[in-house]
Amino acid sequence: MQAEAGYAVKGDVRVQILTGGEPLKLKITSKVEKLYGDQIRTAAELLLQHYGIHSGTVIIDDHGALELVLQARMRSAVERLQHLQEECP
Amino acid sequence: MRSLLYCPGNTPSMLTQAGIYGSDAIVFDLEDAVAPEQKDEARVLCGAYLASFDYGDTSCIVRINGLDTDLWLADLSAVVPSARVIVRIPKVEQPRQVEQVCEALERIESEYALPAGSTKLHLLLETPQGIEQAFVLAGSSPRVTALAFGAEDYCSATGIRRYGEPFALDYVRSRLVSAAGAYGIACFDTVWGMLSDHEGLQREAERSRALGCSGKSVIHPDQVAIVNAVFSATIEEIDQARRILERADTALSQLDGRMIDAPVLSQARRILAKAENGSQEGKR
Repeated sequence: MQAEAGYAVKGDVRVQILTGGEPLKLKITSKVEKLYGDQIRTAAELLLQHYGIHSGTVIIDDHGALELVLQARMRSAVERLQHLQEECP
Repeated sequence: MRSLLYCPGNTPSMLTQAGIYGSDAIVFDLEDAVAPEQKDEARVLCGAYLASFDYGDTSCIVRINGLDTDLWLADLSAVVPSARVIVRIPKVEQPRQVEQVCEALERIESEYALPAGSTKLHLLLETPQGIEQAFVLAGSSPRVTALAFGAEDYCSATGIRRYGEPFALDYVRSRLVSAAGAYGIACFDTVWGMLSDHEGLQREAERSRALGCSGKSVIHPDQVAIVNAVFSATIEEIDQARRILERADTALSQLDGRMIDAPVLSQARRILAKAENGSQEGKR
């Protein structure tokens, strides 16, 4: 099962969550990786922890998004995944 | 508020920059500017910006989805907790619709420990039914602080050419201004959709100001300065207002041959208040 939110455009970030497989794999690509790669990874890990995601694969394709945008897109992807899981348990 | 700049609710780059163009308000649009499959992520995104992005003194308004959809309640739940938002309801036609939104706001304000009644409303009137109900709608709740006109749907329903004769929408503007004035609230004119026709925008803004509108919604940053200039008090108006108020405490009842009475004083106070605060919105 897979859900995503956000877009690969300037100032945005595309977040994909794919269920299945342990341990959790976090793949990050960013236009500003050299400058902010560690910050993005830390923020993403905290969010995944917050939403209780400990398995599967999470792909973050960042295009210079603010942290609040990453938070919003992650939340939307998680909510969409939960919605899918409710529809097809 | 003189200018109210619409901003698509699901575009981070625009939401980040929306505050830099000098508009008195930003209208986060969850309705027409967001595709159906993006509605959920747009409301989360707007909620995040409202909760933590610094827009300074710029007022933040959210146009929610229509009350004929199953989206508006989730829109409110996402943006109202930020405690800094005015809600713009599209296509309002009946007081019952305002009541519906007020009931939902009461629940949300209570849940998030916000002061009861603190979330204000702008009613967007876009249909002949809404326009004809303007007076009742303006007084339908103390939360209502402005009426706003949406011309596109109105013109479509009535057959009026939107960019035809400039007088064609005078009736609507006058009706809304009168209804808003009865309750001491603001009245905002419709957007100008001809993006490259700045002279047309200027003429329409001047006409709506002359008819009594307080400001105008805009859909492009380039339109902000034009609208701000039209809806700002001129130096002459400010100067005259000051001179009128200077006479207020004297027995003299004339200035430059003009009689000064209570309504003239009231108008002078309004001009000065607006000059001091571009985002002034009305008595409520």
